[in-house]
Amino acid sequence: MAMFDKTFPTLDCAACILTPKMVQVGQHPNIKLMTLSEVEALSGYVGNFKVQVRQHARYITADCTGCGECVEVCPCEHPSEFEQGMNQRRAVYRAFPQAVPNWYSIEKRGVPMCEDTCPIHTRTQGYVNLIAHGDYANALKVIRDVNPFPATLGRVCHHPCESECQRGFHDEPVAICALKRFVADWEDEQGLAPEPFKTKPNGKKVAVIGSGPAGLTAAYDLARKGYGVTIFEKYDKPGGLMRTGIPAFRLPRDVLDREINWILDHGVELKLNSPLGDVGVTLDDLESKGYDATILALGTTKGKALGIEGEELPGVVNCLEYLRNANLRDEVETGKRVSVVGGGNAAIDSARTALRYGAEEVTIIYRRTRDEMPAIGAEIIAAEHEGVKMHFLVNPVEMMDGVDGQLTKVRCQKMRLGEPDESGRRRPVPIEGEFIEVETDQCILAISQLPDLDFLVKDEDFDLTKWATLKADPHTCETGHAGVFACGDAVTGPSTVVEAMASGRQAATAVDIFLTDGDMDYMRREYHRPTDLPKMDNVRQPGLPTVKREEIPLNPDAGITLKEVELAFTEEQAVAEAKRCLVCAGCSDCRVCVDACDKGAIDHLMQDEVSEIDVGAIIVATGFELFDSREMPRYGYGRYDNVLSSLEFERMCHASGPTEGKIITKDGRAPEAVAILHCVGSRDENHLEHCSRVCCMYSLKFAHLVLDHTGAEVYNFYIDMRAFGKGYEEFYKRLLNEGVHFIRGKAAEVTNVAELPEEEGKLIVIGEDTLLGMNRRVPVDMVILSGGLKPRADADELARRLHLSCMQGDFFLEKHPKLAPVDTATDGIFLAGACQGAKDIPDSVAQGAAAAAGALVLVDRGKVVLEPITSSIDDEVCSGCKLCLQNCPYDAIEFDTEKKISKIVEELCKGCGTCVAGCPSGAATQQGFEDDQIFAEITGNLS
Amino acid sequence: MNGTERIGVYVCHCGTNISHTVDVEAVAKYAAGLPGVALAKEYKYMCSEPGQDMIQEDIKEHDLTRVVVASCSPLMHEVTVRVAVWGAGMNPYVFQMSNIREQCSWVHSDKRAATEKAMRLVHGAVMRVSQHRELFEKEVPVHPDVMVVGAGIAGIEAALR
Repeated sequence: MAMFDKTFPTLDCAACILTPKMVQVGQHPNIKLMTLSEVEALSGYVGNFKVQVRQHARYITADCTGCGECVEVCPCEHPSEFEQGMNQRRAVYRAFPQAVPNWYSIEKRGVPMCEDTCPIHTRTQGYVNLIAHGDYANALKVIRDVNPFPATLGRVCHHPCESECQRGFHDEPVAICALKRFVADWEDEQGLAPEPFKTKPNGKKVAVIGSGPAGLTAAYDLARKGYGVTIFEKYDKPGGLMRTGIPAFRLPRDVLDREINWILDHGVELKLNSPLGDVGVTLDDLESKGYDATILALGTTKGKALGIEGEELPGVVNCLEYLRNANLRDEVETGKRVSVVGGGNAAIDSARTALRYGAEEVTIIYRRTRDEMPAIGAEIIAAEHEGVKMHFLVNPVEMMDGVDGQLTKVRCQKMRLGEPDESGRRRPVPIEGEFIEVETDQCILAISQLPDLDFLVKDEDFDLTKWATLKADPHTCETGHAGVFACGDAVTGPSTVVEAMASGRQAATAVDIFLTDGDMDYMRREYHRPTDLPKMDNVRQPGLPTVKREEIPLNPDAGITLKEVELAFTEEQAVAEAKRCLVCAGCSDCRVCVDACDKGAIDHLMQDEVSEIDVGAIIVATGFELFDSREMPRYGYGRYDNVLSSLEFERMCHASGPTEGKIITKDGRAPEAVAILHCVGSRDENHLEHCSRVCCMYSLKFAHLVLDHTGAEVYNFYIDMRAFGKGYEEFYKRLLNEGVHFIRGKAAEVTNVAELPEEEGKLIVIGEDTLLGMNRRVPVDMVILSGGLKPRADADELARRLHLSCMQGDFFLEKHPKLAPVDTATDGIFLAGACQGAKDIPDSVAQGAAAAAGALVLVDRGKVVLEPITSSIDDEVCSGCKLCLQNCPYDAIEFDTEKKISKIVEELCKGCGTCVAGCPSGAATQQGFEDDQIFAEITGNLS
Repeated sequence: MNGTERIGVYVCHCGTNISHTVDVEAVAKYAAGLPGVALAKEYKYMCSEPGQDMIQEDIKEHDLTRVVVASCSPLMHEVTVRVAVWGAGMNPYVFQMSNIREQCSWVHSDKRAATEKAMRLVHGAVMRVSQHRELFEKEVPVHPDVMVVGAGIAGIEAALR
């Protein structure tokens, strides 16, 4: 009712009538108002119901004063349900200004897939939408909450988020990774240096061995929690494979240095040239120096061999060694005709690096096809652009040497693709007897990498897995050595930067728990537990306009040098690209509202609350739903701009609505003629058979409002006029005198196809005037569809939960159509308003009062008599099979675990007899319907 | 049946709703001859006050132990008669209602067949009621709170009341 403008037939303001009532409800000391709540289940019986109610998290606490500061900063816009989608609201909103309670709430529909797939669960939509609004500083804040490497990951991440981006199912995924790089580079260009997070030292010390992405992330997390962290790095520069593996033309060194330094700014100490082992630091050293825990983030430093003949030849090198020399020393022995074995990022990086260090020809040898290559797609394309050749479906079987003992050829078996393997990729199968030879003077092996753990497994506390990685608890990261945790590629095997970061984060969390309350089981229970929110994995928006994804600009001066090849988005590109995000999660989770709220009333981690409420009676007043006129495409709703639903027109008339009360067409003109179509969906055997009872009158009200506001000609197409209520017939007469054109006949169609000059640019309503006995074509500027009232979409589900009767898809059924219009078949449950059938406001109010009276009679009497027509179970006969417990629709049977028999809870038993019919041992009987009684009756009937 | 029951049978005319199609006198006469039946009567409206009074007086006067009323659907008047027999000191659950209106007179046009059907229905009710045991209702307290689901105008109105 709050959505209506005026009420009929008195034409008084709906809000003016309703708001005092709403305020009264909000302020009444005996009314507890539970909004955003739904009934989940009902048990008990008349006078003694237990109702399970889920109060959905609103993410804003009762401290909210309704000031609206949060709305000002919220970057997420969605169509307003209250305004019928005619204008936008933010993700933090209140339905309408007079809403009671006057609190805001945040709409969280679920976890977006970009965030869900991200190994470190970056609040992706948060920063993307802040970028869309030009708030780059806060976007970076969102990223840095979980990720100290925005500039690095913005360049090299394999971005699984983009593969799952739901926009990708419409056109192309949002360029999330490039947006991250944009903000990181923006900050650098602005000369802004990020402040480290404030930390409070807790006096505990943690050693991290290894300064790759896993180790650095663990150090970052622990430092932010107040730990004193020291990183021990084997090489003379930090960064692990980010530095030794990824070439500078993808990740410039100053970018990496800047981000590592920012981590160190959090008070992290870095010791270079400090390998773990006999020559460097030992675990004993660390313990004696007072480190409370140690994290091993050793990475993979050994290349995997192919295990084929000739592999030991000079000229065969491993990619890790090759890239390390190039990346750390800018100097690496490179052949003229280089071949690279493998299809991952290391293979592509090796190939592109070889081109930069003097190779004349580089060929990649890969045993599957291009589609199965695990490398990032853009990198493969870049390699092809630079001239790297690719040999697919070939697998090296022998490295062949020439006269001088140098590598000259790689002999490869030809392959074909067979059935998919565990990874889902099709397994390559050799083609017997078919070989090729690739001429080469250097072969770089980039098939896989292993950790170098020989020195560690001498200690009996450490074990290797069957994949030759370090054994650690998959939940707690604990090794066999107390206080020593392990993470990163050394544990998981080769992964990507962001995956290693996730592993480092897990170890840091485990260490924090280990050094605080010690509840390591928490990691098992909670760390990988999915959120309670649903995954937004099926977001489809039919009719969404296609918007092309922005292309990542390339550096025209880069050539094949060590200069970075890709550039950042321009600001215009970044904003345009960020605006492509569908914000499918509702709230993007950027959390800028938290800072905006000076009452501290925003809690993004709020959970739903489920409570059980004891009541004596229940009144169901869940209302109706407007018929969706899209179901009748001939009226053009959803296709033509100026065909409105009745609720849209209500909002349009309302002074605080989307047009501030102006009745105007989509392009802002006052209409010269308006048609109002009665009975849309109602009294129609294809849709709603019933008469919706209010549409005639509200259609008259609309006609009056159009005349009053615009002076346009108004045409009402009606089947017959139903003016049954008090003052309704008088209202109809008044409208007849106001000059509305009434055309008796249901409109057949609304079209924009003009047949006459005066129809040009108009909507033409076609229908038969049954009084004149002729067809009419009425050109108008606006059509209002007076849709019928139908049961709410979830009425069947609510009926099931409350044990109410309703025919499938129909309104709730009252106990008796005349004598018990507000009672239901379940004693103690009453109906009120349009959930029982289409009705107008006076009838709804009358039913509300009647239902209240029904409930009060019960409460006032204070006790209720239960009929004795219930089941009983014979203790001696019951076999304890529990079939009756499953059969009972009222949960009225308990199981006595001591005697191992079923027992009827008489108060709950409704005497339906289901248990009696189903009881295999004949132990259940129903009083008043015992076998003797029924047989006697049948005998009498048949005598 | 233990043979000691004294059953009173009442056949209702329901104005002409029943008697138009069912020979109520014949049904009453038939019922009177059934084993255990102490008396059988027909009357214009069993649901009327005189009808109810008649049952109450008969229970006392003829020492009835069971009552059968052959009339309309129990949804209409089962409770009415239960209250009446209870008023005369009888347990309400040793009374049985036989529906010879909705399930007989209203759905048939052949008076002879309908009358026979009514007799059988009454016969069944008489035999059934002989097997009835006294049942006792249970009183439980009512929780004083009320829940309103929905906060539109009907829900608001109900809550405020």
